[in-house]
Amino acid sequence: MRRIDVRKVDVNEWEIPRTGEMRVPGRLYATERMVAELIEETETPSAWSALAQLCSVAALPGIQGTAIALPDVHPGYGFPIGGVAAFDLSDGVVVVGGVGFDINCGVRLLSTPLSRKDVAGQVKLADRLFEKIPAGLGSRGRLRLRIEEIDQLLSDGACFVVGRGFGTASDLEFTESHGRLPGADPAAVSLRAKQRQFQQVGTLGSGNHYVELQVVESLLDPEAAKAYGLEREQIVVAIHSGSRALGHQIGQDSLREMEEAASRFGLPILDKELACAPIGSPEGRRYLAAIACGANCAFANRQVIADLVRQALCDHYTMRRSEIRTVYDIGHNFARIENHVIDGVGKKDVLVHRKGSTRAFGPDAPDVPSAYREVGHPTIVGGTMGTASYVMRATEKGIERTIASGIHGAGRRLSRKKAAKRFWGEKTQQDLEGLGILVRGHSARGLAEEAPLAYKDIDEVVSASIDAGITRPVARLRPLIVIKG
Amino acid sequence: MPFEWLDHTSDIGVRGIGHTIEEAFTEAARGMFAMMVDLSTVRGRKRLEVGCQARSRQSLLVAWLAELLAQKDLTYSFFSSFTAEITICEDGWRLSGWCDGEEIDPARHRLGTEVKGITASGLRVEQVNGRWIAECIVDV
Repeated sequence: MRRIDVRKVDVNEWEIPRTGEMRVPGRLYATERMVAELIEETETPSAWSALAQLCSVAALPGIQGTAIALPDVHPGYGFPIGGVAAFDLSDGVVVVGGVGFDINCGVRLLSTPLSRKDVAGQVKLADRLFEKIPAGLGSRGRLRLRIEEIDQLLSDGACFVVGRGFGTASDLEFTESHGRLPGADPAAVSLRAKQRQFQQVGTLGSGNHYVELQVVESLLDPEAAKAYGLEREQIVVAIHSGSRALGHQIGQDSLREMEEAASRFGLPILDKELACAPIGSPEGRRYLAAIACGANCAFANRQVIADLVRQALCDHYTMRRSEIRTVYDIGHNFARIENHVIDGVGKKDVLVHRKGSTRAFGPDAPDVPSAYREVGHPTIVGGTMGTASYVMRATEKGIERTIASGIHGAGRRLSRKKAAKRFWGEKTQQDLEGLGILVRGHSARGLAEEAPLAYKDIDEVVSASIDAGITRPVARLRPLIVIKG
Repeated sequence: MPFEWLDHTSDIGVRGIGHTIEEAFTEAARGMFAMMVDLSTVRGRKRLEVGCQARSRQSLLVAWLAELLAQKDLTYSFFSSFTAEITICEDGWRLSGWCDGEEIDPARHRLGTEVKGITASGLRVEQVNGRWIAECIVDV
């Protein structure tokens, strides 16, 4: 049995003091009920424990400040999901589990001129979107690329596909890093990863990925909502997808390489699952160049899907494509170099890992669109097929205490195996339809695994974050049409 | 039961069980593909030779499943039947074998959830009470 000492320091803020090989303390944002559940998890012999994983991350070389767990934390492989950790560039490490297989998986939010009454119960629209967006296993994208074009896509990200007619410059302006991360080197990506991607550009994937038409149910911060162009009863579109097979293969290739690197460099790692390499080592540099390619692939992917959604909506309603605007596109599985204040002393460059968490930059940060300069960029918190999603933004406390990070979703409560046993895809679909939510999916079992009750209560997760003062809610969204893989 | 799925909060575990290590590996492969597609809907219409190598038996399981996952996309196929031979080689362990399946047909195959990657989490390849077990967590 593992015993982890968790001490309350503020409202919904807890510290795990440094013990044993931990180089820094752990910090957890959660309600008392969530903490009790997390502690119970650590004391269950065969269970995976998010807190134990957080303590192992806190013991990694070069970690800065604290190892952070946000309210949606749950066990990952080595690195907890909902976890944030920054590392010194000279003696720190880059951790594969801190990024995961779905590199730069994230959410894009589009605003539309439509309102609830235009969309609610529109069966034909749901069918049209389902037909238009390649989703699920075996789906093929509409954009087929040659090998040299894949390299361009990896270097130029969303800019590449916008150049091919999938979207506009305005989309790029409202995408994190303009949809094109610097430092992407296609030579750092295996041929196999590129070959796996040929047919998958602009495909949604399966599992928890979705396209949702949501209604803005309430505005919780009118000033920020106005800046983001959100109004009550307005229809928005949320696209949750990632870097598809290219990212998966980069993750797989890197896992093996970094396991060998960790052993060759003799890195003191508590958990063998935390495959990592020194940031400045050839392996570390190659990994960062490869995941930048993966991130660009994800930006391009969401850009193409956004354009397909635009086409479908403009086929269905009389409106111009330019009326469907990107509010923001933000990833929640990535590691990148950023400049932050660590431990309250001077700013420094650090490598920030956010696994299942987003950036949450305030008004003064670089890479915030000029239109959002007064309020900072939005963060997007994805709910389930049947529950709310949120648009949120950073607070000063959050920037200081969480290395400018935000929650990304509800977090699973039940395993996929348990969910598939407990729920039935068709029944889940019918129940949601009864609530006014039209669901279209390619897999009945997939729908059962994604049943709303398989996830934590998103309102509780969001409240935990708000009450801790680390993020502010801007708008609450509710799904009306859901497309799943 | 030749393969089973294991609980993991965010992902899912797959366990292959067999009289030999090879059987445990091929059952783990069936378990992985069964997450993605109803195996009874996949016909053995083409055969693909596959091979991989690793320093340990545990890493060989990751390499084997990762190879099959990549081949799913590279050949645009689902596989439902597997054969493997595992031998000791100079640098560790080698697997050579083949898999039978057919081109993906979303209209006919009953789809499940895509596996994204094979993690090094919960890795176990060992003999327990005379039976071989090969298991790991896969990311979905």
